[in-house]
Amino acid sequence: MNSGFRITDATLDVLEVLLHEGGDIYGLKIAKAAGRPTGSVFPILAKLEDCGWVTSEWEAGDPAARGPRRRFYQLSPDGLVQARQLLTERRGGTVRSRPGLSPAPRPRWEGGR
Amino acid sequence: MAGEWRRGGVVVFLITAVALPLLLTEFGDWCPWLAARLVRWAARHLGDPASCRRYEEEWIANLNEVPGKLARLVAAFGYLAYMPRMRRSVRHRAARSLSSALPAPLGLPPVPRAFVGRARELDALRKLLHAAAESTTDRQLIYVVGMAGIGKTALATFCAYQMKEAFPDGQLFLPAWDQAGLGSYLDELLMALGVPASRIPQGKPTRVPCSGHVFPAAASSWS
Repeated sequence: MNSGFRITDATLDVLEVLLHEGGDIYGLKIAKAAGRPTGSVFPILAKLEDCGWVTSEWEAGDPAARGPRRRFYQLSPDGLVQARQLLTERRGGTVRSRPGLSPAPRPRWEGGR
Repeated sequence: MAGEWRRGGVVVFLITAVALPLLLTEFGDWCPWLAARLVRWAARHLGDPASCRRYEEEWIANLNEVPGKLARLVAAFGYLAYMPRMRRSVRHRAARSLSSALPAPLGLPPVPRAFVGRARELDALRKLLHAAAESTTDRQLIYVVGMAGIGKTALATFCAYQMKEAFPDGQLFLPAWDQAGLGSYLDELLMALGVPASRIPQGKPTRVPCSGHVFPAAASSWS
């Protein structure tokens, strides 16, 4: 796969979080979910953004009114495909459970009488 | 004897019950301030102004969400620790966006295949270019002169390839076939670098500083 950069374990962790975490996620949240130091995810996100796998946008709102804005990250359609393929390739499709990730769906008991 | 003991006790009491808590509170209040300063400093040294502004705001917003005062300082050191890697990412992005904005004719021509000798000239060129790369104020033009066919373009191109790493902002090549003057080339270069035509001021005096701002460390060769 030609991504133009080296795909490390940390990169896979970040991709995994982006793939499975819904909603608006920003640097700190991604780092927590990936179990990595906050400073370390930004270079990875920058690289992913650079090659078009990830897009980012500012949090809505006026910075003058509510202070510095966060920046939300999400996978681009291209990145989504690539990340899925890469994770299946490198991690065999099994998602390692991490403290921040949403739990895997479990069978439930349903119905009553 | 007893009086001395009592005095010693008072001093110990003052230190543990008054001075130490005061110092700790002071330190606690000082932590978030220092953390913000560190993160801002790190963000401001990333590279191009746009990235600096972006990461400064983004990082401060992220830092503000870290609970606790000491934890915030620890987080700030985390940003600092990964700053070299971040710098590389940002520089790489800037270089890529520059090269992708350039149409093909503006890249360097192919490296001369059989280039031998000229060690002295190459050395001199390298020295001049290194001096230009290190200086933040000097914009330098280096001329290679000689009779037609002697290999001025080959020398300049070979040297440009050799020194690519020293000029991450990019290398441009403009063959000066016609004598239209520097002004028309500047327009062409600025547009190639992604500056919209409407933002290129007309008239030479204003156009020259504008170009200096766009490519701060680009080496250009005129042959």
